[in-house]
Amino acid sequence: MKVYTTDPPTPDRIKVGVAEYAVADGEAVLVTSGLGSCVGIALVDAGAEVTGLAHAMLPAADGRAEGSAVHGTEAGTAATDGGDRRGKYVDTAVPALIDAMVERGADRARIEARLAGGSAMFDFSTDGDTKNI
Amino acid sequence: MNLDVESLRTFSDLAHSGAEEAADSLATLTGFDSRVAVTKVEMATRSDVEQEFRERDLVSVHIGFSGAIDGRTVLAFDRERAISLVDALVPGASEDPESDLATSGLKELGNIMLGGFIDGWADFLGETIDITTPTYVELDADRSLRDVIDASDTDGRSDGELTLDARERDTDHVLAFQNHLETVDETAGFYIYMLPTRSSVGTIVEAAGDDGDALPVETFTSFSQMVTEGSRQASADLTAMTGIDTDVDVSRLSFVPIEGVPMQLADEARQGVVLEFTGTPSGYIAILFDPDSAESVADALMPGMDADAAMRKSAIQEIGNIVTSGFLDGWADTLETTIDISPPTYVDDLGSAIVDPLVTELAQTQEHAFLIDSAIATPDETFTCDIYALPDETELRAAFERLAPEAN
Repeated sequence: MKVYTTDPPTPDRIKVGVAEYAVADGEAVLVTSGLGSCVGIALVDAGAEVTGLAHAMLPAADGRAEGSAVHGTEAGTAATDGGDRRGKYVDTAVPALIDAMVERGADRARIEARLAGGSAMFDFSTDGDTKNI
Repeated sequence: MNLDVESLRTFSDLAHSGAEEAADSLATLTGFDSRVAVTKVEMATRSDVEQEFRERDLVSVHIGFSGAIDGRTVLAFDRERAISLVDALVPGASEDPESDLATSGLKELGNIMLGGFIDGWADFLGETIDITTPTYVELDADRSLRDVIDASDTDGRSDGELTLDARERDTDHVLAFQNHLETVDETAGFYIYMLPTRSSVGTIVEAAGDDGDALPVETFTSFSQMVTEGSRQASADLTAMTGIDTDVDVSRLSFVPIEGVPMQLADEARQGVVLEFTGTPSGYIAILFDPDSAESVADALMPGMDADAAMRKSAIQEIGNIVTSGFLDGWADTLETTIDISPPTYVDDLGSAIVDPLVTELAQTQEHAFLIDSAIATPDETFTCDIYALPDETELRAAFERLAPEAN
């Protein structure tokens, strides 16, 4: 938990790293890069001006994502806590992202989604691509 | 001294949470909201660490620690970042960045950030760790990190506990913990380094490790040397093929949380090849060039030819093949095994997007990764070739066992 002595600066551009998710509102722009077989999940409630972005690596957590429930809901902060791995898996990132957005005033029924990534770039012997979608 | 993968995981987690503490202190003190981008445990030599400092234009604050474990921590930031920090801490002081007022602001910041970083290790060990007063260090051509460490280790300390043994200097391998912090809205970085002494690494391994899994630390260093040898062979082959002299610029073995691997690569365009290798160990390898380097290397391969895109692509594939063979052949010899290499797949994408699928493959079975990164460069900067190898963790452990000085 961060404790600020003054108000934190409001960033205009929030970078979401691999296996992270973040929520923003107003004018702030969420950014992620380097999507190959990873999936970028962008959610928007345009009415409430609340947005969320996750950069997930794997399709399912299978119990590996345990972490604190409070993280990732902080203003303009990506969830980087070592204990919270929900951003890493699609099936935990999506609920976590929606919960965090609702907490910031989004309405579930209004949220629209866009997906990017999930590419099968290489033909490996153990093919794990495309399972994210 | 023995080291095991479980200890490395503990090290990595401790360093990561320590860096988060430090990032929180930074926000409290200066209002700069930062996040821990990457935490890695480097199996490096002292001169490798020094080179990292010299590659970037860094100013730094050093703090020694002693007690349960001994060593040194360094908070480093690029020069412009240091000036903006000084302004946040001591308004107006940045007008004279060399002034005592400015440097004392940075020292105080170092004191609090590094103190928080070390606290986590003390908690883990259940013992106290004392820290020394901070020193402000500006590295330049006349003053190397080693000079600084040597000077401060003999300076004003009567117990001599922190004095590095002569054999621990220069070429001896150390574990270095590198944490890269970046502000949320930009990539300008802070770095926190922790360099524990060799015996302190032993202390933490005893507390964290799994004896059954432990291998002599020399195993890791032998592997690291094998990687360096592979890089040299790849460099020699590249020179033979292109007729341009090349040197190994960097050859590193590090242990990183798996999601941190793509963040090691810039979000910049790269061309090259990706291959899969199978054997002991199996894994993935990416041979990457920036666009200018790719053009130079393709030109060198087809001098005087008006090559089209398809020819350039196949030239890059051929180079990738040769570099990979050079890089991995030595491994197979040393490990007395065979390593098969798949045909190269040509890639042209952002560096981080190229390694992303490789990382995703490994992430299905492992949380951390051993990352090998090497750079081969021409002295005249005609081209740079980056090699990233990601061996499967379990199989790499099997490979380590083959390298263990006293075979299990």
